[in-house]
Amino acid sequence: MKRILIAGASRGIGKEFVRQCRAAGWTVHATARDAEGCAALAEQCDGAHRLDITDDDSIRMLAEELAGIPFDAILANAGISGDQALPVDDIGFDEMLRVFDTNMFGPLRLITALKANLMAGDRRLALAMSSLMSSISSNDWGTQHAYRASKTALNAAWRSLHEEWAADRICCVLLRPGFVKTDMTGHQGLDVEISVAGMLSVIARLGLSDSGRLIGYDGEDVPW
Amino acid sequence: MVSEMRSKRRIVIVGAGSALGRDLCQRYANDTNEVIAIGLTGGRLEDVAAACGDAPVDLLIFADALDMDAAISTAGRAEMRDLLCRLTYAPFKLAALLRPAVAAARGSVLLCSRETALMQREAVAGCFTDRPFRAAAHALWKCLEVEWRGDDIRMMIVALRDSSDGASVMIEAGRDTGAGLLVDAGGAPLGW
Repeated sequence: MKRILIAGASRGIGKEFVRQCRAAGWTVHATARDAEGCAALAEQCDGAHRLDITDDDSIRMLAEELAGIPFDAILANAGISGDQALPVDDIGFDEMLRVFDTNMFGPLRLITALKANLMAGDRRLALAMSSLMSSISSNDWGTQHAYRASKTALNAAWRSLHEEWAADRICCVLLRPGFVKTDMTGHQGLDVEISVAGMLSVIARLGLSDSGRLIGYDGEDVPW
Repeated sequence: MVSEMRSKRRIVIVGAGSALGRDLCQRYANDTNEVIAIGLTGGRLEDVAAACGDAPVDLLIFADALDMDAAISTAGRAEMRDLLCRLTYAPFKLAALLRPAVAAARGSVLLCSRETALMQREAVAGCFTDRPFRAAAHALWKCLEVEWRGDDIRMMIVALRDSSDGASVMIEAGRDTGAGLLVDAGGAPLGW
């Protein structure tokens, strides 16, 4: 039986992942930051867990809860946009750290804490949610500087994991969801159902040779 | 109106305490250049920028060299915070604070980085931990290039093989060849 953990599933893309994964026959574990979110998730998946991805104690407790459970895939989906309106001159270190703590430090700490769960699974997919904004070569309009940098850092971290974990045959892949109608985008853009369906189609086809890639919901590689 | 002619080119080198920084200071020190050497000692970046004064800056170089030997999978949050501050935020913030002075000279801002920070390069073992933060600095340098197009400021990143690549390499790579934002030690364009 294929089993997935979706970290950050109380709304938006993560919530839709829970729905579609269950419909596709996955055993689904999912996380939310608070008790209310967990209670809602518990009705929708096979295992609901609390997780604050910015808190190493929270990650450690999750790892303890999941000890011994094999996962075929772990998706680090939790992310924040940061203050999108901040101009370059007004970006302080606190703001940059806040964004990086959730978007890069957290996913990295989470996936390393749960490596044993992946090793016990069959497909060994270490997945992280990236963004077109992480693409330096595609940036011709600026804005959202801290968010962009945090996702670029996530990409680089996952590339390093891909190299470090190659001998363990863990496939480390970044996903690009597209510009999706969520709270983060002010509910403009692509329908979340289409985005997640696309990403699940990508996930279904992933093999070890795909490790280290950044792949869009449409199956296309995103340029670095 | 009489325009004021400056007799010397003003060069600010941040990270002057590093081997590369010291080497750059020595190579640029001559009768045609005024070199301002800045070491990052943990103080407020606003104070560091203020110490450079208000005069136009022709060339601003970030030469903080750092060799790490740690795997990314074991990097702790505190370690990553320090790297974020040193490799990503400090150059970005200082460049922003010194922008008026660089713009006044229609100058250049050059970031010293590593080839191992590039996504398409296989990482050398032991260089994993700084990779994400240098890559993030690259992303921010592109943001600044886009945001500052109207200022006629030239942004550049030179990706060195390692910290032993000398100052002469940096100076040569930094020449305006039209190669674009990211170049290697020879001045040839690189992919991200």
